[in-house]
Amino acid sequence: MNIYKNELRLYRKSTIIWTLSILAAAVLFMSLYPSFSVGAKELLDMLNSFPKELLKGLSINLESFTSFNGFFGFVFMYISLALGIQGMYLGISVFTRENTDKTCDFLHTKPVTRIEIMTAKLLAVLSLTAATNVCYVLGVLGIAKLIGVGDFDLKVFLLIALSGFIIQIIFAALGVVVSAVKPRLRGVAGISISFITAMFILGLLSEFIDEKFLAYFTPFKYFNNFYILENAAFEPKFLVLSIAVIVASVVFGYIVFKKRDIHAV
Amino acid sequence: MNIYIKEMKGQIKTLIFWTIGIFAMIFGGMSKYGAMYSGSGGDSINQLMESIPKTIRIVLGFIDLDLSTVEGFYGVLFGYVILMAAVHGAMLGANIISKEENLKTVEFLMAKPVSRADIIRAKILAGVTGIFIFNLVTLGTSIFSVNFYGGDSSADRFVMNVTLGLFISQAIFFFIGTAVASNIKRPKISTAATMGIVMFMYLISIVLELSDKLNFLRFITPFKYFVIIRFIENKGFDLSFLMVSFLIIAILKIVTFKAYEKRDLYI
Repeated sequence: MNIYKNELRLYRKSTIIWTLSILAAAVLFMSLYPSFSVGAKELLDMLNSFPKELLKGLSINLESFTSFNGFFGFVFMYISLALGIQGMYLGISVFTRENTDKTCDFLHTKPVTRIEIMTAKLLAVLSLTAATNVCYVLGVLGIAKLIGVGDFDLKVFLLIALSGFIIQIIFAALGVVVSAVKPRLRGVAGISISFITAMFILGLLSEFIDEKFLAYFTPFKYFNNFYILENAAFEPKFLVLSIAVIVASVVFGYIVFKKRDIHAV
Repeated sequence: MNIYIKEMKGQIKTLIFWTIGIFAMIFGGMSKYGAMYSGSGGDSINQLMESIPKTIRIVLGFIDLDLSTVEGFYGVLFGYVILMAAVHGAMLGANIISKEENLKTVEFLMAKPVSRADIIRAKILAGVTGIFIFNLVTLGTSIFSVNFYGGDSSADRFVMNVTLGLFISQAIFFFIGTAVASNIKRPKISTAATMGIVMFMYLISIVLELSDKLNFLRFITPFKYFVIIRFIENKGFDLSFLMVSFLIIAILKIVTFKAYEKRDLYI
């Protein structure tokens, strides 16, 4: 319990900064929604005058993509980039900090098992990321009320937001793997930012060049907004894949952490 | 000179990784050009697209550039290249200054008979060399891929202009990194702080794409200094942004030197 509290205390400030930055970015994007919705209405009116066959060729349901949720789905793409960086940074930092700060031997003289330490730290990561998600989602909902977006499907909105949380957890879990392989890693921020940006670009690229198999390599593509908008559900195979990645990474982390040599000072 | 060589050795591994990434992305991306778009024309679709408001087009993921031309297709890929270049440049800049303090080697370095200005000069020179190599590889890869899949070398000039723009933008990000790193009190967070600035600029550049009303904001984000459309239309460089870039680089360089000469080293 003490370890859990200590982790929360150490990362309180950075989590607050992250949450506020994400919220600020969301506000910035949301302020463009009014002009988007006017344009969307014009577009729908215009499209109604087109023959139905031509529209079928576009093969997407424009009603839902031009709704508030459609716009949020777009904004969300960039929010998930920030969430991913935060998640991975936490995942690596929590487990390498004891090594780089040379507090490892102190911690391991305490009457707690390694499993307990690991669990407390994982719970701390989970709580911190969950707090960020809850805060920014409430913030976005508040802004949506404020600028008067009208009715929208709350379930779809929450599903999109939840997918961000899952993406964040995946990256945090991958962070655990990284810290298990490289326990004395320095420059955590640099590593996580490069990795996440690479994943993000891979996601954009897979869509642009239309290579479906690339999507399996980047968690950013595990949750397709267009799919969520149309079906109000996650794609089952990718949901299973996400859970598998998380479980496998965490189990790997436990196995390595339990047997690791501790570098004494 | 020793510092320069040491810095070059220090960054070579990262540089190789990045250039492999750039190569895979550009060559892999362009390989799709031949298969998907070349010669498909599609004027009626383009006309339909143009009647859709810009904001909507971007939110729905339609692309502003004409993908049936090799320049347009390369332009989309370039959007990803510049993000990678920005991350590489900014991280290199922040790290090259902060790492001595982070790795506790700064006392050793300071005890050597070189002035602080000399140290920074060597480090900046090494960083700029790294960026130069990064861009050289990008240029080579781009020209090769564009010629390979485009069929002829008519787009060479365009690719060269674009890469020159990339080099200048990346240099700005590099100097943002050095300026932040020499000013910030805790060297440990210099990378994170610099990347915060880069991400913020990236988001601004996306917001700018959504709305034409905010065009004056273009000056705060180097992602928008050199716009691909201008190169495609053969208009060349935007002189005012070229001047702004050089001005910013000069200012950031002075800031880096001034701040580092007086810096309280964090030990």
